Amino acid sequence: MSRRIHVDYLARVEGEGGLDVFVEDGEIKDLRLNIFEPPRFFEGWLRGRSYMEIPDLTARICGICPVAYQVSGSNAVENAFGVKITKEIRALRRLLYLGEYIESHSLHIYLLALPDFLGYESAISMAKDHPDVVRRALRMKRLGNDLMTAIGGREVHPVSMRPGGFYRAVAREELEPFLPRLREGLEDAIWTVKFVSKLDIPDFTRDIEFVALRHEEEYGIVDGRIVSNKGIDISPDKYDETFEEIQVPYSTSFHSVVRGRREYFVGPLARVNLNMDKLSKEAQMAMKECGIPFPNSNPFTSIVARAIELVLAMEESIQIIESYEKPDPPYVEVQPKESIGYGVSEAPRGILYHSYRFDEEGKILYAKIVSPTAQNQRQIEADLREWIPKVIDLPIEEATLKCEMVIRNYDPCISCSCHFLKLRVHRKSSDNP
Amino acid sequence: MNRSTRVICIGNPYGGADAIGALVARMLRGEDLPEGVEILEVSGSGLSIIDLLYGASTVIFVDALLGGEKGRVRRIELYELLSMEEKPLISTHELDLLSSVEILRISDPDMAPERIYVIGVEIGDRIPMLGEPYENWMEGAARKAVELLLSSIRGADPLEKG
Repeated sequence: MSRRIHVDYLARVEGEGGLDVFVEDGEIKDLRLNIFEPPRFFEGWLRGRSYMEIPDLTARICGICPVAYQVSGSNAVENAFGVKITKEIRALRRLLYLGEYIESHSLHIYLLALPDFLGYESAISMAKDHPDVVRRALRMKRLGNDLMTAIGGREVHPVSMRPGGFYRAVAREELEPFLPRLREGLEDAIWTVKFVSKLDIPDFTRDIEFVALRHEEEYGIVDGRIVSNKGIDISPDKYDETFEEIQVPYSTSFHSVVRGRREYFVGPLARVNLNMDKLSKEAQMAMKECGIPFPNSNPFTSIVARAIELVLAMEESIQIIESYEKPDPPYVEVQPKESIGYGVSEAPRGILYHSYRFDEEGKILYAKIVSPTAQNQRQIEADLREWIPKVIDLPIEEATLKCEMVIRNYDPCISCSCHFLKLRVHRKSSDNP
Repeated sequence: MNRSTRVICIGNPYGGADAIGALVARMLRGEDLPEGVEILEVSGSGLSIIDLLYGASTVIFVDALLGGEKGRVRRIELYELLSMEEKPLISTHELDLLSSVEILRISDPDMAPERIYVIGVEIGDRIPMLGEPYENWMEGAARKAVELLLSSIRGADPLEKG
C-alpha cells in the first residue's frame, strides 16, 4: 500500500520552512528539513557598517528574540575592543534578557507547545476549553513584554542597548512597580512547572550532546564558556575550532555539527541539564519537585525545562530589581581598533554566536552569526529519524502531528534563517509503490 | 490601561519594501493625533504581538501587502482577511495574527479590541529581503497610508476600502 502524508503549513513555529520525509516499507529512505534562507544575506549586509550599529541592525534579523541579538553582538564588540562593562550595566542587561525569556517562554509553553500535549489542533480550540490557563499565559507574556519595554524604551524591539551598555538606563522608580507583578508571575511560573510536568510526555530518551553556556557565578545567559555533556569546555573565541557548519544540497541554510563528531542540541533543556546547580532557589525547588528527572535526554521534556527557566526568570528579575543600582554613566566608552571579536549569549532557543572582524575605525570587515535554530536543525533531523519509525504506523494525521511535536520541542525560530516550513511525509511500500 | 485606538505599524526598517510600516510610524510621530491614539512600531509578528492588542478598543495594523500594484494603499477589515484565499500581509503570519485576536477574545473578552482593520500598502509580488534599499515609490505610498489612516481615525475616509 502506498501512503503519503502531506501537511502544507506547519503551524505554531516562528516562521516557515519545509520538511520532506520519504518512507519505504516502514524505513526512512530520506529526510530533509528544508530551510530556504536568503543565504547569510545579513552577514554581507553588515560589512562596511559601524560597530555601533550592530545591536540595532542585528536585532532586526529576528522579530522574536531581539535582545539575544543585541547582547551577543555587544559582547562581540566589547570582546574585540577590550571593553569591560560595570556590574550595574551587566545586571540591567541580564534583567532585559530575563524579560525576553519570560515573554518568549510563556508564549511557547502555552500557545505553541501545549496544544500538542493536550490534543488540540490549535491554541484557539485549547483556549475555548481552558480560558483560565491561557489568561495566565498571557499575563506572564505581557509582564515580560512590559519589562522589556520599560528597559528597552520600546515595545518588541528595544532601542536602548549599545556596545558598552545602554544609551539610557532605566531608573529604579520605573522598575519597582514590576515587583508585585513579578511576585505574582513567580507563582504563575511555579504553577506552570507543576502543570507541564503532569502532561503525557512521550518516552523518547536519546543519546544527545547538549551544548550550553556555563558561568561560574550564575545561570549562564548573558555570557559564559561553551560547555557540553561530552567534554566541550571552551571560550567563545574557540567556537569555530570546535563547531563546523556544513552545507546540505537541499537547503540554503548550514547545518551545525561538533567537529569530528555529529549534531548537538542547544536550548532550555541543554541549559538546565548543564547548569542545574546554578538555577535560582525556587527554580531548583520546582525542578526537584516536578517529578521529571534532570538531567534528562528526552527532547519532549524541553517544555518542562522551559517552565523551570520561567521560574528562574521571575525570581532573578525580582532579585535584580530589589538590589538595582542605576548604572551611571549608563555605558562604558568604547574605542575601536583593528581586531576580531567573539560574542555568545543564550537566546531563549539556545546559543547565539556572533563574530566580527573590524578595521581601525570599527567598520565591520567580516561578520558571522549562527542562530540557535541553525544549530538545532541537524539535531531535529536526527530526532525525526529515530522518532518516525515509532509513529509510522499511526493514522496519517496523528503521525504527522507527532512529527510536528518533535520539531516544536526546539521552538524553532525559522524566521531567523528561512521563510517557509511545509511538512510532507511520503510513504510507499514495495507492494504498492 | 485606558481603552484607546492603537496603531501598530509592522515593518523592518532595514527590509526594503517591508519598511513601509516603519516609515508610516515615523511620519505619524510628526502628526497632531487625536487624543487616545497610540502609535507602536514593531518588527515582530503573529502571536508574539498578542500583548499589543490587549486593552485597545480599536487596533489598526499598518503593514506591507504582498502582490498588487506597488504603492497602492488599501484598507482591509479583519473579516475580509479571513475570507481571502491568498493572504497578503507580508510582515505578519496572518494565521497567527488572526489566532492572536481570537485567543484574546476567548480568554479575556473585556480586553480584546472591538474592531481591527489593516491599512495595507501593496508592494508587488516579490518578497523583500533584509538589507535591501528603499524604493522610490515608498515615501509617497507611506504618506498616502498616513492620510488614509488619519482620515479613518477621524471618521472621514477619502479612499474606497478594499
